[in-house]
Amino acid sequence: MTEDERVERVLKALTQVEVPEGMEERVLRRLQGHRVKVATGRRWLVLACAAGACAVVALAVGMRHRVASPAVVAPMVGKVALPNPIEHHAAQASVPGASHTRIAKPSRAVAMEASFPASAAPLTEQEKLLVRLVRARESEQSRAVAALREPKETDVPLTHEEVLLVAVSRVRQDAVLEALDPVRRAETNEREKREFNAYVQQKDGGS
Amino acid sequence: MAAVIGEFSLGWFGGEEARDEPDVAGLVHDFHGLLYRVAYSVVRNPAEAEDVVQETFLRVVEHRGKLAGIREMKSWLVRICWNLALDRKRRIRPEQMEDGFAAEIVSRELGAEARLVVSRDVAMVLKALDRLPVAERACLLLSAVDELSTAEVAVVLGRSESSVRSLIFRARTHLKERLGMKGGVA
Repeated sequence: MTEDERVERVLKALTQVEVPEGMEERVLRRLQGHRVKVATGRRWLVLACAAGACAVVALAVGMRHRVASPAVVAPMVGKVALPNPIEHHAAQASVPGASHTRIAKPSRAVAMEASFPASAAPLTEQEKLLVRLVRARESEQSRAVAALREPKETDVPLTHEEVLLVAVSRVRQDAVLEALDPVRRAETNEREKREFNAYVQQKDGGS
Repeated sequence: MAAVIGEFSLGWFGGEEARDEPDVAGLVHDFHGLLYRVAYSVVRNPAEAEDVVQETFLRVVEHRGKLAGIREMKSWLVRICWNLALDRKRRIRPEQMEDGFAAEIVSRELGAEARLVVSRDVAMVLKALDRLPVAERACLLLSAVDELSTAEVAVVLGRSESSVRSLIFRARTHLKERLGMKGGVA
């Protein structure tokens, strides 16, 4: 046998084999199994994507609520929800037999609420700073007044600055009343003269 | 067979799959024999060759979106099958593969005494074939498949026809030289 024949025999044996029986069915069956697997996988993928989208939406809604909630609550902190006097009045007038009842004059706070209703919008940074400053000033003033009134009870001599502070605070507190009441103003003048004279004498004597 | 394929549930994306499925079944029907022979020429094992054919059609299913754009389906399929078979061959122990193949050839041939001689000769030719350069071996094997013309082999291997012819000639020459040096067996 020549080399050509030997090679041909092997090549023929390699490339002209019979196909095994039922191979086509087996291939199709495997493809079918693969397709079912892929379809199931896709179904799970779609479900997972849907669940993920729901989670993202829920998270976004939750975050929006968390951001928005302080803006709604902040203006109401420390306040009582006050009735609107105009609405209150209208409601009473509409009730039969209630027209003779005396309508309580709204307090200053109520009047302020009616005139300047709190905005639903959140406070700006400047507004927050302003509120903080006013509160700090209020507490400072009250502390200063309390501190100035204390020495009276204990009869501790006041310093020059303290006397001036007392005078200023009294002026601020009683200015309106004194302006309206001449008797009280006279008494106050007398008292202040006495105190001033006593202070001058004390100071002259001390020095 | 297309009906069998169409029976199972195609799921939520069934429209596209249902449209492509008969085509894949048709391809299996038309080309499974050719692909089996191509795979067998490389792996030299019936079970492995069938596995390669199945893998080839799985690839086709995975890339079924490209089916419409493929002009030479036969060459495309053979190329996939050829590459998969080469991959598979790297995972098989070559000694076992050749012995099995040689025994298979011999069993079809003559009886007792001639078996040993023919078996040795086949093993020798296979060894010489495996020592050929890759391109020469590929051209020789694919051109030996009856269903493939030289032009189709050229498309499968991404070469020109003249190059394929040249490689086939060189492969045969090299084989003859090597077998002639080792001595012929009747």
